[in-house]
Amino acid sequence: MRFLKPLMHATGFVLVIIAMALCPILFVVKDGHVVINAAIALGFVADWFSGLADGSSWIFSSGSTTWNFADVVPKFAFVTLSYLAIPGILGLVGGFAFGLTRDPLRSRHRHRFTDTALNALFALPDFVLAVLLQLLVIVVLDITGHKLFTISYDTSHGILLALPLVVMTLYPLIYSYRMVLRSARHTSGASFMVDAEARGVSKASLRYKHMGVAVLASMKTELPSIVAIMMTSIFVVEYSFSLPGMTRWLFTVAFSGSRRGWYDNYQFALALNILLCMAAAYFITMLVLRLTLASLKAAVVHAL
Amino acid sequence: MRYKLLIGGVCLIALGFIAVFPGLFSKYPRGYQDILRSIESSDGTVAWRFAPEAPSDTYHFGSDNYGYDIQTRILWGLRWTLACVIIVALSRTLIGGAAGVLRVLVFGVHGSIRTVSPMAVIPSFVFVFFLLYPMTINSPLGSLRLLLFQCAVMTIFDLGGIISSISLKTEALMKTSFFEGAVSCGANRLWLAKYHIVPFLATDLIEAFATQTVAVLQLVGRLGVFSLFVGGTIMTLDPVMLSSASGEVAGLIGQYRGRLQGAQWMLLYPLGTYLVILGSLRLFVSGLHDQFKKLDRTYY
Repeated sequence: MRFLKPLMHATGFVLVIIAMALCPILFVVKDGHVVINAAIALGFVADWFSGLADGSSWIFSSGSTTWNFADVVPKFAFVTLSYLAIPGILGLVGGFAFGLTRDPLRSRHRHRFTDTALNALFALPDFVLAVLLQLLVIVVLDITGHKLFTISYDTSHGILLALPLVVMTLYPLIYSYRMVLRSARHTSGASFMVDAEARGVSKASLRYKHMGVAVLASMKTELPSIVAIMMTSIFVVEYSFSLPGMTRWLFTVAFSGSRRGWYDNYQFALALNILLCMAAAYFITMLVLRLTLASLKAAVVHAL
Repeated sequence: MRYKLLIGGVCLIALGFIAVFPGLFSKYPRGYQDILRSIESSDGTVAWRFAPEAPSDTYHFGSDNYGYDIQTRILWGLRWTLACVIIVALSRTLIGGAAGVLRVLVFGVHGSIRTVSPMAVIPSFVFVFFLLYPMTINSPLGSLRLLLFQCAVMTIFDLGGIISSISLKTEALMKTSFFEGAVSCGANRLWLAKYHIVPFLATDLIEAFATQTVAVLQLVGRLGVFSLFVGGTIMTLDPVMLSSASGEVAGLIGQYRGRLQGAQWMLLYPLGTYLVILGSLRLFVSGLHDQFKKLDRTYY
């Protein structure tokens, strides 16, 4: 019985993702009305389940070539996980360090400009930021003849590009920074802080060992929000910078057409497999970021 | 911080006016297209101009590859963007607000909605994309019916946040002495909702509406990146392209996103317009938030 609730939760979770992948088949327009194509949709689900055993659910086509999902997924998953984990770690550590280094109570006025700039950046949607950064690189190239960064992926460069990393890092960084400041302000008046200050504990120890640990606890509760922001950005970033990751694969191959950039064909099995892999990517990212916070805590308590 | 509310409000009123009367500001009629034109100079020589044309006195924002005036497209497309944003934000606020109150008052469910759901794992705009994809591309529904369908789909997603926050505020109201007093006097649920909850949630609902406008604008922009445009996507064979049926502003960004190098005006003007709308909404939301914070809300 202990495992029944998580099992039911996981089953419901998978069913919702299956239902989502079915939407392009389930709803069709006939004679100007939206109709539900339930029989055909259920047939696709049945085929997918039976195909798991005989391997046909893993087969997909890209152009005129047929591929096996299991053979190619590690390559795409590596790119997506890299763009989730690296910026996530950088964002969390950076936000924690910047937020705590700044005295949260005494320097509110002095850092007004920084706060306003960060708030303005955070208010920009990811796709706008991606376009603005790409435009900036092109403008600099036109004026100076110097190419600062690569604006989209090509096979001659590695998979880690500066611009998508910046876009992916910025949102968790600013979110963590603001959260650390808020939490630090809240903690600074707590009785254990006042007591430690009265006992003559050094400022550095107060800030890192007392306030820092308390702040890390509140960061842990906000992790789902941070990962949710990153999961939204990864779809836009991979598409905008043409990164060979899972989400771009979804939009360019699962929704593909006879010509580049077209949506006239839908591969249900591939879309479902990618969405399930994205769900796995969410939990892996969450685990990586939880480990990052645990490492930060150990560093704050023991090393500093 | 009243200046934020003032500037944001004035900008939004101006944008609303332009959206209602685009013809007053547009040099050309809706859908104006001129792919090739000739100019005769004073000495009698004739020069030919091909689309796309850079911004000039003839086309203030330039023209696109197919000779459409960018300014005309933006002016006529603005109404679609604003209509979608307002309809979805209003529906979310009303439905989410009502569900939030009912959840606590009628069904007695307490606490915020906190589970790891597929909605957290897969972003809501991807859910919306999957639902709208079969309807939006070369839609037989017609732009207006499609807009309403798109708004309905966008409303369903992201309701959880509003329901949760309104539930929590309703819970707080139910612990106040005036509410308990009304219950002791035998007030029924309808009376309680009408006189002791909804009036006190008004500021929260207005704030939620304003916040949702920003969220919807971002959602529409993200869908535009993937060529799913408000009002419909037209997929043509010759020439090969996916274009916005309505010319909605976020859709134009998606349509001209490839114009990073060469003819950048095609991307820059829709992007600038989108940022003006977003900036106005953000200022208004921030100003409204500051204004409401000043109000005395001791019942919490």
